[in-house]
Amino acid sequence: MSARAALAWALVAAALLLGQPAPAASLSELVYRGDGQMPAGDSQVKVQVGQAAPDFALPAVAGGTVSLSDYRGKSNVLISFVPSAWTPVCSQQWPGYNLAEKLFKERDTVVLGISVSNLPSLYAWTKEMGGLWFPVLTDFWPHGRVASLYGVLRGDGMSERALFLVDKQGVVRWAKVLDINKVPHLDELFEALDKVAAP
Amino acid sequence: MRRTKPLALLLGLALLLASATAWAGLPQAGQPAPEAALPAMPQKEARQYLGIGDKHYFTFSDVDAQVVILNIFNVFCPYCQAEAPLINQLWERLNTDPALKGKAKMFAIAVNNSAFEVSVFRDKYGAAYPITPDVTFEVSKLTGKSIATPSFVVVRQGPQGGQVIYSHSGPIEDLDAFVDMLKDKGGLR
Repeated sequence: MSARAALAWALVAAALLLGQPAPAASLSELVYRGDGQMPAGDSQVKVQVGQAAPDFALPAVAGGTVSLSDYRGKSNVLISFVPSAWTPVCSQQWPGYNLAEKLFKERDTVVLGISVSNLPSLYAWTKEMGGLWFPVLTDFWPHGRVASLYGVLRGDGMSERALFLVDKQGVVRWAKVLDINKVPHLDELFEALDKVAAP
Repeated sequence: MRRTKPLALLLGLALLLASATAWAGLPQAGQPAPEAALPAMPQKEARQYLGIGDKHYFTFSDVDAQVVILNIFNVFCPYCQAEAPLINQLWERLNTDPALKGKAKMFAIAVNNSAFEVSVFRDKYGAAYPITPDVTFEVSKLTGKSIATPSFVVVRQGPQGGQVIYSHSGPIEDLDAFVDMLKDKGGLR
């Protein structure tokens, strides 16, 4: 190879190495971005404000099974359905509930995070987030059974990004299906929660 | 001519690859200070500290300091949450180290976070530095559409205009090294 050719290849190699983007935080690198935005869903919410929230029991990442009725008479419950583990918006939404842990506890409210992703996937994802203070449950099998019960199972097999606030008597006090592509702000959630359980 | 054409192509490819990643994302070290106008924080005391008065938008050159540190973060980002105590220590150093006090100043932009969300972050971590809630993602004027959080841009001001002296995506690993960089590259020794 001539000296000029060697120099040119060395320059290309250097550009490939030096031109690498600065590494992002690793959760961001591990998140799957797919085709970009997810399409709007085709689900029909089955649970309305004022109705009794359907009970369910699902396996938890921390082990064992958690039922909604475990909290009857003890805590308000914010059921947070998210479409999938390892996706961008979801990877911010639940750490946001970590940030607001004190605000939830001041309002006697526990969060139940539910996803149709399977247990190992949820385990790895929540561990990468640094852990969460609230139970995370898998709605993997029968697939989306609880999401379907609440009317938030999409035709593509994921759940909607949806929130249901259930009071200590087991009654739905607020229900919201959110834009699946956006991180929901805490403002609206705490405005709704304060109507039920202001500290 | 036959031999130089493929070489020219290779060199062109090398330049393109090296520069392409510089166009996307943060302004790079060595570049002139960005001129993008960033949204100011609501708190009067914070604006007074930076010396930007009542401006709703300000640029790096508006800040009354020789070295200006921007921390781009998101209160939901678990890495930003984990790093919050270190950023508090940085704030402390800027306000107590005689080489830095009044000469190196910092501010933060909370991307896609509301004022309420920023207040939750402040309360949880005791963050006292200026933070602008940037619900409308105005920091994209500086970074383009894709930004990793946390990210840091440090500008050194000068009579001929400012220059970026440090640019990094990811948490600050070593606070002492970062402060040494501020002093060395910021001309604050």
